[in-house]
Amino acid sequence: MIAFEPDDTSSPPPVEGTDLVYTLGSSRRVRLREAEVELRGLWETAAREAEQAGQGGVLRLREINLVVYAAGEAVAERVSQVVLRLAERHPARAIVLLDVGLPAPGEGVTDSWVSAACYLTAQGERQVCWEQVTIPAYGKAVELLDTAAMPVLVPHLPTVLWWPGQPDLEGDTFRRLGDVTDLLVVDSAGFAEPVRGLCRLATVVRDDSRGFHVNDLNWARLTTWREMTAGVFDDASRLEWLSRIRRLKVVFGAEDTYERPDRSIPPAASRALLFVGWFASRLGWTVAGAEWTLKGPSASTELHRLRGSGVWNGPAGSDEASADHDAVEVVLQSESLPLDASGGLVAVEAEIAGASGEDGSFVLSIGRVGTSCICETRVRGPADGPISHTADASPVPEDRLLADELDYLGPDRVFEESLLLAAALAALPGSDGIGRDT
Amino acid sequence: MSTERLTENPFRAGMRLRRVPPPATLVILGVTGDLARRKLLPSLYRLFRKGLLPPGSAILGVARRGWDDEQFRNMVREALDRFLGKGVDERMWEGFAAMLFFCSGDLVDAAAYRTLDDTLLSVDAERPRNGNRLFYLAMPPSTYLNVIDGIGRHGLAGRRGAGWTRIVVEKPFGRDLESARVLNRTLGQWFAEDDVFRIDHYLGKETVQNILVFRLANAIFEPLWNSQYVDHVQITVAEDIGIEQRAGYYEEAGALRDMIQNHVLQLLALVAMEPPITFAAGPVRDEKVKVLMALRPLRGPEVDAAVVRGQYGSGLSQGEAVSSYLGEEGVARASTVETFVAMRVFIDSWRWAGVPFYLRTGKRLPKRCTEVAIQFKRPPLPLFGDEVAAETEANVLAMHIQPDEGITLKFGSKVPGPTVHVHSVNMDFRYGSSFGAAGADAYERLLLDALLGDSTLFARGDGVEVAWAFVDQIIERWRHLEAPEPQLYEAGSWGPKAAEDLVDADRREWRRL
Repeated sequence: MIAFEPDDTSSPPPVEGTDLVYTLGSSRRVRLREAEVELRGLWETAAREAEQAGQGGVLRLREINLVVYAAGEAVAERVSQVVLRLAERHPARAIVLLDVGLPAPGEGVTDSWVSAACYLTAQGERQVCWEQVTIPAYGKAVELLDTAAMPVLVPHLPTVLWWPGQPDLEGDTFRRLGDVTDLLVVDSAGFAEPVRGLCRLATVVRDDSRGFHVNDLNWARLTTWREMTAGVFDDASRLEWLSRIRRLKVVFGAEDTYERPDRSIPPAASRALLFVGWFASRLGWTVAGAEWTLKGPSASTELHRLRGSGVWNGPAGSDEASADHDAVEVVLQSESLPLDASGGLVAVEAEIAGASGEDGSFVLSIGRVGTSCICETRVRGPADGPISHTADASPVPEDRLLADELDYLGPDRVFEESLLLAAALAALPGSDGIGRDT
Repeated sequence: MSTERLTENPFRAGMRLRRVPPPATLVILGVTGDLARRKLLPSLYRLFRKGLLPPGSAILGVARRGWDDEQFRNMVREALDRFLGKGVDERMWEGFAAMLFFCSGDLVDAAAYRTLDDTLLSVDAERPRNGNRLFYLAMPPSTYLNVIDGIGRHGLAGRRGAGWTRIVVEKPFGRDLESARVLNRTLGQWFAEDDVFRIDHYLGKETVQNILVFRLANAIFEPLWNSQYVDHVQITVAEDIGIEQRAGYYEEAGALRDMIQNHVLQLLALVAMEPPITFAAGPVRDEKVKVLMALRPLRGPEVDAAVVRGQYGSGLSQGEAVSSYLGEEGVARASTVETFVAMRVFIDSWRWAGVPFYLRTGKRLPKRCTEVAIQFKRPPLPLFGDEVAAETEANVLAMHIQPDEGITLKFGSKVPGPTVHVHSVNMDFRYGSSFGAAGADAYERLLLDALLGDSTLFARGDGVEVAWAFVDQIIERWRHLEAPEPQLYEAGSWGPKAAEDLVDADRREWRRL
């Protein structure tokens, strides 16, 4: 655990080393305004050492500014480990804004912890070095953290703001950081209120005046499920199934079930909602149900499927979807799954009507094999032959999820459309969203 | 969006990261061989694990052994356990095994093709995949013509409905211009050129692909990429191993056919080509072929002055005493086959007029290493004095292809202090540590490209023939009695002295690697 005691001047480095990492000097606490000088000193020392060892220079590679808002020391420690592993793919200047959560020892944000490290090649040479500036703030000074970050941003590099918890999207800190951010990365699974949080995140996405793109690690965790779903329909002969789906069920892991006293969808449903949002938005479905109907561990509502030549181009739930459509029932079902973290998908099932009506209906399912992390695609009923597909849906470490997202600093329109539809579903009465108290 | 008239998969729209091919049956001809076990099957498993072999895909192994599907699956499992590098996940294996099928048959026999046809139909009937088929010739090159002809004559090469039929051919693509033409004609008789994928695994390596990206995605280098700024170019493909157990093949091939005709000339083409109008297979390969066509011909005795051939004697390699080439099992006692080639070539184009390209390849050299190095001209004026100019090396941009893929830029920098001393420093960029995400294995990448129908990284028939036409001049000269014999070099050295003399005569030197 990193200790950021107000009067501590000898704490261990915030970046823990591994066998492959060489820490340049020791992490030092310096006045914030001296952070750049301190970093320069670390690099000069490293260059001298490398030259003495006959290794040539050391390469400082910086692709992005990675600003991280860490609420508490535990988060900061986790973030440091992620940044360390992330450097392999996305070397960055990491600026960790640490809300220590302790009373203020003084006024303002004046100190920082500076550290830098290199990866070691098999020959022991230092390669690709990165650096981290951790800026702790106490009490009211937390509100000034964003201003403390500005001077240590590397000019002319894209800036990514990674907010591991739920950001206060209306707060001044978020607003000011947003002004210098190119990409905001959140993890809606870690929001204090994940389902309601989707609605808030959708508000940010809808705001055309924002100057940054948005990504969500909770969405990134759906990649395998999305690819398995897409894989079924790479065979063009199955595309016609899509017009006959009458029920879409998404089963997800949850610590609790729908037998909740407040009769709401559990927070763990957020990823399932994003999946439904993706599936439905790809097919142009819109929200039709007026509320979630809760029954046992399930909640269901309806989506509209447009028929004919209709093109979905309106916001979810708009009147445009009412004229020429039929309904698709959407069911979210929770299941206790000890192997998986809460929120992970367990199965996706699409009930598909037969080509000539009710007869010959079948179920396309993508689901975990037992309690494992391996998923299989199956068809139950008279379809045109079995589908053989297996994929590994093991949980992906946070650093890899983040690195995948940082491969693209541009907009992810599919995510945005999926989020908007998921948020529309989350807003229905009966969800954990705004309808909960009605 | 109406889902009633969909013709494209709506779930693929906007999907990042993946290029997923359509379902297909991959037919590996010669599936019990070394290439299939070491490279192809592990690569296919990795593709499967990454979700890049979609539902409906199948792998049909073909070999003489009288195996059934189950015995084939056992062989594949053994190959994966041995060559995959990390353990096979049991549950993933079940899914992978379910797409493995075997067809027993000797492909010199017409009946084998009928059996293959029947097996393909039954596999297709069980798992609809739009009739897409990819044949992979993982067999000795001597069998290529008969097998391609057999595939064609038995109706296996044609398209089925909307599906495609493609074929992957491993190098060597012939052993001279004439045999390459025959191979191309045979392929062309049954397959469209777009459906032929001549695989040179070097082109699947990340750094090789990065040569074009580096040149053409960075505005600062391309303006320097010409005779005005480049002094010369060196391309080295060095191996520390001998011929292993491949004497039969190597005695017929030699370093010129084995390395120069394909790997080295392909690297040369990528370094020297003009920017294509788009980064697509046709334009990229057009430009590569133009480079090969612009290689200055070497006629008769010109070969003696521009090309050095060598053969390794005994010596020390990696601290162990090793035998000479002539002492290797299966090598003729009086063999004159070259295990080393160094050459100076010129590209007679506007961009490269007068710039020498030094190429070298060999076995039993001190280390395994492949790199392309662009050496730039020195500054026009020794502004900091002759002494400083003498201690400053020329700028070099080196692209390392193996073993450590990366790029090094060498430039001069002032040593801090009151006097002007300039030291050359290397700015080193290694893929492995700069972008830690391990790039896909070259075969994995190229198999995926073939399934996707992207032939950008594969050799085209006309390019192969142009390369052979150039190499044939050298082969022809070496048959001449007046041509110098291969010079012996000590195993573990950088080749014969004549190779040093070749560059020394131009007042240049090989890079110390």
